[in-house]
Amino acid sequence: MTPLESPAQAQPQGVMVQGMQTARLPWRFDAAAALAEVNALPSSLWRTHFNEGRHDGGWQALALRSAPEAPIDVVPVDVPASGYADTPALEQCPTLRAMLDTMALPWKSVRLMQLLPGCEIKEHTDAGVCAARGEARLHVPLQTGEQVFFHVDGERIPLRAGECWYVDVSRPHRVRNRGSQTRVHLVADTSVDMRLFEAFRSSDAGEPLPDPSDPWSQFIRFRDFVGADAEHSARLSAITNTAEFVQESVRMGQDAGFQFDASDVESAMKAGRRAWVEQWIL
Amino acid sequence: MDSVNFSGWRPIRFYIAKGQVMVDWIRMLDEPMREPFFQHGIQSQMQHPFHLAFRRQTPLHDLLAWHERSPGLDPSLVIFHVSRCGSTLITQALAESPHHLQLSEPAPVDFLLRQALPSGLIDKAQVVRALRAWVSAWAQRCDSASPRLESVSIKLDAWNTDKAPLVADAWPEARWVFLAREPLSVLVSQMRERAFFLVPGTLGACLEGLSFQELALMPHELYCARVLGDIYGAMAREFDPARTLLLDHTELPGAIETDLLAHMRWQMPADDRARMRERITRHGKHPHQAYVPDTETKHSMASDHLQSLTAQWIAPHYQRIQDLRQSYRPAASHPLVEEALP
Repeated sequence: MTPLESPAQAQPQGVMVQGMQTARLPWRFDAAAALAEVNALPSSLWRTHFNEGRHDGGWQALALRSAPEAPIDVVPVDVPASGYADTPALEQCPTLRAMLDTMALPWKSVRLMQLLPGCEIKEHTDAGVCAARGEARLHVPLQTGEQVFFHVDGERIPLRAGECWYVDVSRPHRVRNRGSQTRVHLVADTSVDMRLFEAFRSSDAGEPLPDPSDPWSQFIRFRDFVGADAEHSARLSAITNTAEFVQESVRMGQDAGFQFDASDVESAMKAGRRAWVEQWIL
Repeated sequence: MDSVNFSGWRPIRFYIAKGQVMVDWIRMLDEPMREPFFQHGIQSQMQHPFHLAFRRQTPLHDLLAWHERSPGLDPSLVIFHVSRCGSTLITQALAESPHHLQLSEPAPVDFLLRQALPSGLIDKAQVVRALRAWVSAWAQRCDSASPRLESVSIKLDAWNTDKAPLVADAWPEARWVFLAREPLSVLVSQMRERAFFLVPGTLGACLEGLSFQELALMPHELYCARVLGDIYGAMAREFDPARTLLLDHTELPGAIETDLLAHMRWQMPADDRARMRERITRHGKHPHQAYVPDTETKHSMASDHLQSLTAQWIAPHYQRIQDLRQSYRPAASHPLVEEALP
């Protein structure tokens, strides 16, 4: 290994792009063909996602490119693209291989991720993985639906099968699969080169998904309702125990006709704390 | 649903989102905030889960509409100060009365005075309306069983003294107090434990004609002396004898009950006065400690360098303040001020 290739020298090499939150990039793919390949892979290759504190058991990953340094093959590590190699699984998936080749980016960790029906990836942040630091994590949904809710910073991202998305995962994000089938994404990490920079320039915000069933937007409406209603405000604000407060919020929401989860209340609390604390950060 | 009913809700923060000025509200009834600083009071509130999950966030327009619909009191007193000069003792003394609302260095007011106009999102007239509306939303009771609110005071941040003209536009009837202290003690105190505003960058390019880079490279004693000098200078420049009482640290705590209460034209109830007298024997920011004068100690700690920086950058402004104080001294202190009031 020459000094230039050593990990210490290979810190973020990409173009730093400020202000990118989420973007639908100008590439489209044949999700059905890719999904057929994924379904043909042996199920024994799937691993429960290592970030076990942040999901309920239904989040799984399968490595398509990995680094020998990685403790587990699906874990992204901080080495340049040249430190990653295709896994045997990728060699069995020519359509996925062609997708990556079409985008022609300096790929690092690439994996398949699936979220089982009824399961949830809790709110979390992936520090440093963002275009502002020259790094990007791209998602290509292969199987998804309107009952899959992917939120970043409280905004629902309308990811549809066959689209390619950049998501700033250094911001708080979470996913719920309330549909009846597994959600499957290709998730690929790269540094931001000029080709990706150009793709950002021709990106858009995607087509919105129907809003009424979105549990977070139900919570927002319940919050407005509570704000304008002295009795509900008084009852909820009298609760000081956090677990009891979350439970009672969900229950009172249901009684008032709003369908949201405990995780929506928890995310609202985190966002509320963040908004207060971040005002001191220069 | 009536979107401009904010009874029981208080604005705690302004922020900018999607190209407009937004207001963040928490539900807070009439409970008094006794912490020496507004922000600390809100910080304690933030331990309650409701305040985290159920804040209301609205465009500035809703706050202005609430002001029209439910006007509260305007401040009768605005406190300007040079920092480390006893201003917290004044605010804590006033806060002893449940009939008084004391707002001490609220960040939302600093936002309006210092950041709102440069954002380009609102004009001066809107800043003035927002200042009035923000105080008004706090200066009202939402429960008829609470003690009646009789007067309101607001203490600004030291570095906002140069924004006095905006304050005059917002509350033309309010009385002002300018509180100063001989500058060597202030500088020594700041060098011992520096307030955040004396860290280069926190106030932006605050010294006229100097870039942020130049400020960051300046020796820190010089930076502190020059920023403090500007605050003293603003005080001398903005002094308006028609509305301003000039007080010096040496006159505390006695002048609080005499000169200051008379100046703000508020007859504090006798019970509250008794509590206030007890409060002013203790330290402003650390109420569990007795107050011990420390000017001599501070002077004995001052290096030759600090003395010379004080002499060069602050003392001339302080001398002007002292001269003004001599020229516009009230005829006499009013020990019988209660009888002098209507």
